[in-house]
Amino acid sequence: MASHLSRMGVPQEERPTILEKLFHVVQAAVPGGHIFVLIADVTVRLLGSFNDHGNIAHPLRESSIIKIHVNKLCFKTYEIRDIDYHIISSTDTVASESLETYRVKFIPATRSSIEGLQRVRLDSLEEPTIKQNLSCSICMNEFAQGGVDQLITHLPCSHRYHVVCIIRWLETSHVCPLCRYPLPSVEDGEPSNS
Amino acid sequence: MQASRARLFKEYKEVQREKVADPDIQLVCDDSNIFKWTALIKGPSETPFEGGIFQLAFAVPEQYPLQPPQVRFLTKIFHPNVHFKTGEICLDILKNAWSPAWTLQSVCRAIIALMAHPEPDSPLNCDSGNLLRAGDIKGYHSMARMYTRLAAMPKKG
Repeated sequence: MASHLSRMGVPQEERPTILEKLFHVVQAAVPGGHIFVLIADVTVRLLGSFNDHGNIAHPLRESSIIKIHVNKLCFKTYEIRDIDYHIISSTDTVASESLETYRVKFIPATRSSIEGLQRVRLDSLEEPTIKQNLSCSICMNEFAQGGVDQLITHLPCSHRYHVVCIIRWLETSHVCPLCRYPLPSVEDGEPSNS
Repeated sequence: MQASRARLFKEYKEVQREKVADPDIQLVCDDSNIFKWTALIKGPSETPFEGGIFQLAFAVPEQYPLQPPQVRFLTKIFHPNVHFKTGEICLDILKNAWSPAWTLQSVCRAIIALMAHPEPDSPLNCDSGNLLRAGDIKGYHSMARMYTRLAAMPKKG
């Protein structure tokens, strides 16, 4: 507690008074409950003689919040720093720049497993098969809306995709987009361009 | 580039059609740039985020959907898997577990699920993660609730 107060810049001579007040609140609190304490550094300037009322010149110059968790006889404190009541600025250039360059590294499928895919024309598939797999989950286009000559393939897990779409994906990652069924990957030992 | 544009346009049309279907998600494409989207999601019920509206920013890469969109919270949130300052989200499907079968809409649903089920063992916000790992559910709940009130709820009066 005392270290929290010192980090907040509370003068040494003020600390016993604040701690005493805090313990007073803690003793009166329901065990297991939470107390939020606002400690404000307020500059007070006296106007006129000592008999006049004090006047707050700089309200809340600096403030911090200490949260006290009462749990039987022991308690924890958490200090909340840099409270930002507003949303993060969308023009936060540092954050957006670092995001722009970020790329996820996947493990591609082997060249042979990509080349070994069966390729069939849409019109050679049976009607129920097309109905079962309405659209390609990579481009989101319905198979039925494309030309009859579009090439379709299926992975060993039987999920169907456009040949062009799934090749682009398998050259990126070796797992089925829908069920994560893994094809042989370049990390399994076979080089990608053999 | 062309493939990503076509795919995003497809999603755009889907969002227009599904708007009423999912009242918890409001996904909007930037007027002039189809690679920039924002979403408003409702904090899931029975969580400290209930009643809050959280804004997400999407930056879609040119390689989309082969690469995941980059998503972050614009609204301040106290959650183990969201960076307190930048709003960055630690979620497997936005990293190595990404698949092109995910859409911007389903990513929003995954983020709502993450809000309800935090993963304190891979924290971006250590303070939040430590509260949960120490078993201080009440402490986590009250902190998260306070920030929901401060940042994600309309100001009263």
